[in-house]
Amino acid sequence: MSIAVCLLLYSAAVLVFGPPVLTRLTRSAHAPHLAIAAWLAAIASVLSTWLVAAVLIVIDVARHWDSPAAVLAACITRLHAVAAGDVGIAPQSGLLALAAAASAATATLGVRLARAVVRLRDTAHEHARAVRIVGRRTADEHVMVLEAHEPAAYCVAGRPPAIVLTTAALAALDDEQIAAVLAHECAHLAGHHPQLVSALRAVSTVLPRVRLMTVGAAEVSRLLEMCADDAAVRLHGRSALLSGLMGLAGAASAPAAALGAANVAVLSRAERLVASPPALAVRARAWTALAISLTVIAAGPIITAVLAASGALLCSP
Amino acid sequence: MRSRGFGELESVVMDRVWSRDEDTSMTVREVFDELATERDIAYTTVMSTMDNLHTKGWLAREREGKAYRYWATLTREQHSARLMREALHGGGSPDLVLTHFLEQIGPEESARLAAVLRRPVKRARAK
Repeated sequence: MSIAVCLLLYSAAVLVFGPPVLTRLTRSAHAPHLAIAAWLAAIASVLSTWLVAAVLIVIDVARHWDSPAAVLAACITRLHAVAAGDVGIAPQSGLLALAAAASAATATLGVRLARAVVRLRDTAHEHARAVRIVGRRTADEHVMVLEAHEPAAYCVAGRPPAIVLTTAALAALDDEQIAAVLAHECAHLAGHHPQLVSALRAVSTVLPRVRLMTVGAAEVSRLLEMCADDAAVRLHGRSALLSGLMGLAGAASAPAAALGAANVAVLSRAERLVASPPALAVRARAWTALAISLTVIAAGPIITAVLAASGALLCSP
Repeated sequence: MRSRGFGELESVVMDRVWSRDEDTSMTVREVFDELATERDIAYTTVMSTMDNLHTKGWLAREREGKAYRYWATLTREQHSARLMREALHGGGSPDLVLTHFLEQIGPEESARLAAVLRRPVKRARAK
């Protein structure tokens, strides 16, 4: 029981301190891959901690069913006394309620998460399939061209996935810029970025009030764009990618005027591309800070569990 | 993979249907005869593909004797416009996850972006 409590405390700490600390550490995006790893570790460790805590609570209750007082003895009864003082409640019913609540919460979360994942996957696959029927095929089997006035370039998960370029985008870009844009989108597909973004979107729609999930989803999307930018730059150079960005932005400004959706992500990408690469010391500092936070996040549950296990000797039978 | 081959066939069939005049309809036999000149394909495959496209709303059909006559419910252009609405404006639902090269941005962001991007290009030209 105390392990479960410690794990939940750990997850609460990550939920409170994770978003501000990670946002600060990953803002500069000097090491986008490591930054993504840190966000994913935080999100995954919170979710897995919840699952493990729920399982531990249920196991504990089941194992000590005959002697509920033993489970409650040192830890929970003390809480009971402090919180409500209703000593009249049979310990068994309290334990049962706790186990039921833990498993119900976990099951609900799991079902909602699975549903969200399936819904997002189906929507994306449907879009990709439609694109393949409607669009013109190109030499690259993944790249489809759609007849449209709106300049757009994007990729969408599917079986097979699709990279979509509109005719307006093709008209706005020269060959070198098109190659850079395609390299950017290919990097997304090769890295399974659409699936990752979908999974995070699913988590953030199921837990819309948990900042770690919502901020994490947005930040990881932004960082993935930067990873794809880096891949495109490696292949085609900075100027091709930047002028591609500018070509599309210039062509897009007219129809987008009606939208007015705030999007700072593209600005931070552009600024990062324009700026000269940071000095080695700056990158090393960013790298170290991220590596440390990643280690703390990943080691958190393990250390918590070990500490709890030794502490558990004091408070459970 | 079966699904890949099937998806490809769906687009080939829609190509055929769209290549006709808007008001003309086609039977499975007509589509099959056209396709059979170019590829090794079974009649039943074309039939089930067209049936599938009907189920998914791409084709409408009307019984004529023993066979169905099929026609496209929307033109290719209408589908393109629909896909663009989905892709650029979320199509009214936030369920479609896409990784855009350049997200839709408002005029203010667009101006700021242009300001940022103008820097290196000028420098590159000056070289």
